[in-house]
Amino acid sequence: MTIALTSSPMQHGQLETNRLMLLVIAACLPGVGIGTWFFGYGIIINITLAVLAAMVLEAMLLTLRKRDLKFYLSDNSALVTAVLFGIAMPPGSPWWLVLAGIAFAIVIGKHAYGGLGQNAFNPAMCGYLFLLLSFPLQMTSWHIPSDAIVDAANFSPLGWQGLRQSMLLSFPFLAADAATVQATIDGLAMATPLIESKMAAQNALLTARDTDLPLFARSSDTGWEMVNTGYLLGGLLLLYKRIISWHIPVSIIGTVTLLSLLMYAPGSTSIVGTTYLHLFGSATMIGAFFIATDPVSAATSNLGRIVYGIIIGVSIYTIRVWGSYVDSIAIAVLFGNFCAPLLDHYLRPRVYGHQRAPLLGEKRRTG
Amino acid sequence: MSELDQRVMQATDLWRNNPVLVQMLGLSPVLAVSTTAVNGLGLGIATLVTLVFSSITAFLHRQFISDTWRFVWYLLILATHTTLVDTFMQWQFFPLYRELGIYVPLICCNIAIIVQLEKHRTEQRLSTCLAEAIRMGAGFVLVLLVLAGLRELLAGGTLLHDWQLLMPSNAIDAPNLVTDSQTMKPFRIIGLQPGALFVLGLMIAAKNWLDDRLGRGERPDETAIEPAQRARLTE
Repeated sequence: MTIALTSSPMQHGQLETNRLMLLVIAACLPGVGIGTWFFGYGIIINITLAVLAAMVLEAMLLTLRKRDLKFYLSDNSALVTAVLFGIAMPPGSPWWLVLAGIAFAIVIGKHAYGGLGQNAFNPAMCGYLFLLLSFPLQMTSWHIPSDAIVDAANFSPLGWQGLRQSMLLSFPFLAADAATVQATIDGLAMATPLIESKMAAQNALLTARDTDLPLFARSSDTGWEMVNTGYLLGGLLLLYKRIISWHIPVSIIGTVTLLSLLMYAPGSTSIVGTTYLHLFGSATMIGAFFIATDPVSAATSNLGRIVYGIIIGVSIYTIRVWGSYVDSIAIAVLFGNFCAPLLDHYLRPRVYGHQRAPLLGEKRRTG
Repeated sequence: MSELDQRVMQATDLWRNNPVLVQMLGLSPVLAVSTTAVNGLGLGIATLVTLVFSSITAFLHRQFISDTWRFVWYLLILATHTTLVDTFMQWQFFPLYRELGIYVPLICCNIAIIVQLEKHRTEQRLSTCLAEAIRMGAGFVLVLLVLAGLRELLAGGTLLHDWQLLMPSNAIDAPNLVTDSQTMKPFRIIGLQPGALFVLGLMIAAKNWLDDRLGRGERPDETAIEPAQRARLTE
């Protein structure tokens, strides 16, 4: 083993919380951009709303808790929470849904536990799950502008029409009359590949990837693949910049891959989705790289991180296939967060010169 | 402590020593039944009545209750009164009884009541014993009512919905209440189990905050926590 010796002058690494958080947001950008390209402006509207509300709420709560406003606001952690929450929300969600979720995330998920560094659970996922349990209907419908289905050939979600329809979905009160909103919404509720695969499995059909459903032809299928690739690229950037370690993403993706490979039975009536669908037709990539790696709520030792990732991977697959929820990143990550303190307790690396910590009920060795 | 101080302490027991918010006793019925204000109020009053009558019985029997077997005695007394309340509710408040289900018989496992009976062992006067039982029961009812009211408001958008359940009516002419499923449900999660814990936690936080503001809070000594120790290999 060689030890690199360095001498002064030394340079400051500058990797402070606020820069780190900004890098996380930068790493989200490819995925967000691709998502906007395929699904329209809904994601951007969600993120904007969530960021604005999160900043206001964060400032309010910091004032209430008598904390230094400038110092804590500029650590950008509320920004990351809001961006991840906005990405997780289905595009085209009404404004009040986004506001309710981000309010729960910041007020209960973060500050009720004691603010950044004390939050036992990932705040963005707290907010998401709060909405999922409260408004299951709104949270499981995936909206894209209706013209994308009606007139797919000539439609670009990025055009003027797409923007208008996305705005109508998020702010229904902007429409002149209720009928316009209704017409927009009617054409819009659209299944994600996972929902479609689940329905197909229930109907003893082939998986969604094998069928030629019109929903999958235009934006959904390719769109989801590309979005996930975007988040994969962003995640690799985070790994390259050493903001996250490889343990959590690798163990989550590895577990999901292994389980879906083992369980996949083509042609059988109990089809549970291909590996490809589980990795690229869902939220696995953003979950593995961005959400589960939250440094506060994840396990901290390397072995602990691997076990934490396996727990999340198994939960993701189990809930997706046998549970009643469509996608399961939020539930799985919160479950992993529950386990993290226990993992940290038992899987601590041994301190040099010290024994390992005694297990439960084990007597401390002396001498 | 002078007698006056003691009286002041006792009078504020409902707040200072609330069975739910401070002692955190009897939480399982509190969390399970507090979905609507009517349910909460119904179970709260049933608990209050059971508590008062079993307190009187325990007081009157205090000479027979031996130290060794006192908890058996308490359970026996409590079970008797719970059965009486249960039967009475079945007779006079059938719809409410049907709504509360298993939680009426489960009053006899309410630890808040057993603790109260244990407290009465050394009491000399029936009046003080009765007053304390009523205070504790009222504290229970109050918390249950506020918690259930908040949860009903947040989860269902109503308050004291189906209040007819609280009116006496027997099984034969019980009103057939159909809950309107078309009504808007604002925050469904508050009506589920996690919501109960959220709201109760916020209520406890609000109480502590209020105590701090009024300068009555009794802070636990934080320096008493033992620091973590590491296992040294070389002593």
